[in-house]
Amino acid sequence: MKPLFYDFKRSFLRPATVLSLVAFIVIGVGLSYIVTTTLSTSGRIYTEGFGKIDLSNGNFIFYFNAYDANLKPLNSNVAIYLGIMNTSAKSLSADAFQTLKSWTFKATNGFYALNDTINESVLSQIMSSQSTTNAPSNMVPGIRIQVSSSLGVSGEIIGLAMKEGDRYAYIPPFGGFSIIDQSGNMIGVVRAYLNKDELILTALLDLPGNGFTSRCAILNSTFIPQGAEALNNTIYLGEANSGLNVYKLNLSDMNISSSSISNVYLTVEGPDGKIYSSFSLPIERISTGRLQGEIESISTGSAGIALFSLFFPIVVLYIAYALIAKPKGMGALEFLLARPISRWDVYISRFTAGALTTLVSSAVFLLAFDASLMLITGYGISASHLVIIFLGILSSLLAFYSVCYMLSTVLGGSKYLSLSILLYLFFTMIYNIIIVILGTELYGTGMYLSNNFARLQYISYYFNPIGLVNFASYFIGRSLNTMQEISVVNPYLVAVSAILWIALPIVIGWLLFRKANLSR
Amino acid sequence: MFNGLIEIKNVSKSFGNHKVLEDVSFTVGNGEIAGYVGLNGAGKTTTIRIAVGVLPPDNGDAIIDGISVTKEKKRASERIGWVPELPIFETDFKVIDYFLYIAGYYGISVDSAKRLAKEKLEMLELGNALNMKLAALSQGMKKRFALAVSLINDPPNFIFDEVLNGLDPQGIVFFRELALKFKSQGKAVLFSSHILSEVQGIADKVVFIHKGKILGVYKMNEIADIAKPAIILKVDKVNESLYVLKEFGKAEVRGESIALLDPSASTGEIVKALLEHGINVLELKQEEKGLEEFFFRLIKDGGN
Repeated sequence: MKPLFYDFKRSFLRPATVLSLVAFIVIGVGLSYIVTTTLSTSGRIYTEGFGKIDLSNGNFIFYFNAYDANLKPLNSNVAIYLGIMNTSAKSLSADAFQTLKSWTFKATNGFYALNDTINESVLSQIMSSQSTTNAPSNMVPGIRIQVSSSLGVSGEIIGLAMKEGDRYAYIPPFGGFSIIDQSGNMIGVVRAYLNKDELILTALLDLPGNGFTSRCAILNSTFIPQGAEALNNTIYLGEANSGLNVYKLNLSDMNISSSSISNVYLTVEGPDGKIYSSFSLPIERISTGRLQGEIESISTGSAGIALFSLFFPIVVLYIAYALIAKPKGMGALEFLLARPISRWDVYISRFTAGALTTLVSSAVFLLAFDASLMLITGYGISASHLVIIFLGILSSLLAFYSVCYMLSTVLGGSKYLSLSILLYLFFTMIYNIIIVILGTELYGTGMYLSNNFARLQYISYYFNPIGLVNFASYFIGRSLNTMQEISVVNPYLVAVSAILWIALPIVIGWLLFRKANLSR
Repeated sequence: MFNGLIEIKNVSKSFGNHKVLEDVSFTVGNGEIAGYVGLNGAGKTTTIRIAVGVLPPDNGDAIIDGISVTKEKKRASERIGWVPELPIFETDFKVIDYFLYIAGYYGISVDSAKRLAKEKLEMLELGNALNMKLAALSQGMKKRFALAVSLINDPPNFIFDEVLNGLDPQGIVFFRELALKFKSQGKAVLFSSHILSEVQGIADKVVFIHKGKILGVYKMNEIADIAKPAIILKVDKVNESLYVLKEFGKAEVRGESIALLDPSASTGEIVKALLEHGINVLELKQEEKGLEEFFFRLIKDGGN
């Protein structure tokens, strides 16, 4: 086995490195959850649902669909409660709802079709509460729906749509607009989205048979056709089936300006010519990429990946200790040097082994973090941003490793540990405090401080090996438009700074090591 | 052309202001065992560390089979093995792993290195220690492991640095016999010790070093000749005796007696000469002088 790989193996597989890496991977997974938690409280999701109860036999059908903010099918957990709601309660909260029966399901890939039977006792309670003669007018049958996902939550309490004597009680569509026939029988719900030039209609339908087709009319604010006029202007969308129907139209292909349209309505025609139609429903404009941006912004921010670049240097300084400072302090390098090997071989092979450990550790951490983020949210960090943050972390860790390695060539054992830990504290804390004090002294505490402090901070990062990673966050922030431009950040200067931080300590370390007395 | 296989040429070394070696030169030839003798701190280990290439000299060079250690370290190191007094290894390694790791520097594949490790370590009675941590080895085992590693490519030159220190009698016999075996194989062997008698019986010559300077290089038979017994005399006229005795060697007064060191004539001739000068010899005895006394006298005389 090549000694370099042996050195790499024992630096990478040593307990301190492995345990730290495992810890950071766990932290990475934890960070994914932090991202998810942040998004689930502030994130936007799109849900729609429709259902009906056959009051003659208790058969219950419920269709559900969920999208994330980018209209990607969203895995979500759904709970449905059938019961009696108190409409006179101050707020229509869960407290105002008496559950008679409940269902929970996981809508994998967004969609789920629930089919169940409601027993007679529940049915009779529903029917009696609906009856104006048997129940107080403020207690009506209803449905409570709760949706939770990694990217957001939603909840609704709605009354059942049913008339005394009707066979079906409908769960009025939520999140969209109902599709009904002329008698008021509901067959589904529809929702319309506009993503750039693409109009997307999603319809949850419960159709009485086959052979149905869908059409739509696109409206602008000044043209709202009604009746036959409306039908004459409809666009054929395709077949309609029970369950989820997704129709996509490219507006530019149809010479329709996406900016001018405001509403759409859907018609579903049966094989017998019977028409079911939605109300005019407003189009929801989707801004794709926002969610991705939010995820990346949180991921690469101070509570995300930056934690790795802040704390992994402790492992890095230990690697330099294990590879050079400790054996040198013990006098163990002498025995090795008596072999057919030059000092340069020992010096560069062990540096490379530590650098490879840093590289692989960073890559493993980032991939684990990205994979868990992908698994939990369905979104990862984009490849280009992943490369930028990887280079940022790597250059930062390598720069600090080079400095530690240089120290390890002149200091052995405990002296090295003391000084390198001091150096770590200096670059991660003391240095930043000095910059804050300097900023305050230079610009005071008024409005000039905030304007100039960022510049000062970024200037300081050029002179701090551990600070280099901040440039990666900056470049990603700029790319996501979440950061304002800072004039002092120049990609070429950043590259020069990184190269110098890595190369200079290696050169100085070598000049010291080549003549060093390696005896204990 | 080079004179011997291990050549130390005009080597000087200082640590800070402390001069450890000053113009040290000697050679160890093929099939020769050279004892390298000096007091603790004399500069033996520093010389050896320079010879095996782990310490750069300030001046001079070590030449191994004609290859300069300072200029062609890797090639020179391939031709020399070293067993230090206190071998220090990286303690987190297992015995087998460190052997394989070092074998990598000799360009040996893992499979070959594993076979070699088994062979060498079993030969040196370390077969049961393959999976032991290096930190757990005894001094004797560490020296045998250092030897096993040095035997990876069976180099033609060997240096044993104070190798007998701390060993049990069995270990001492092992390394002495090993040195003789290497000699019989035509290897050049440098065997350092601070006790001259340790190299007695195996060395062909002894290089004496003191305070960083070479006091002299003596063949063992020369040492035996020089280390003749002294004659201790009690006479009635001390001053006259000293005058007469200086014809036969170095005479010094020791209390009421005179010691004649390295007498150049037989006892009978010396007594006869004294009597001829009217000096009565009251008492006469021969003093046995060992190698150690020779060594200390060498130090005292500064190599003269």
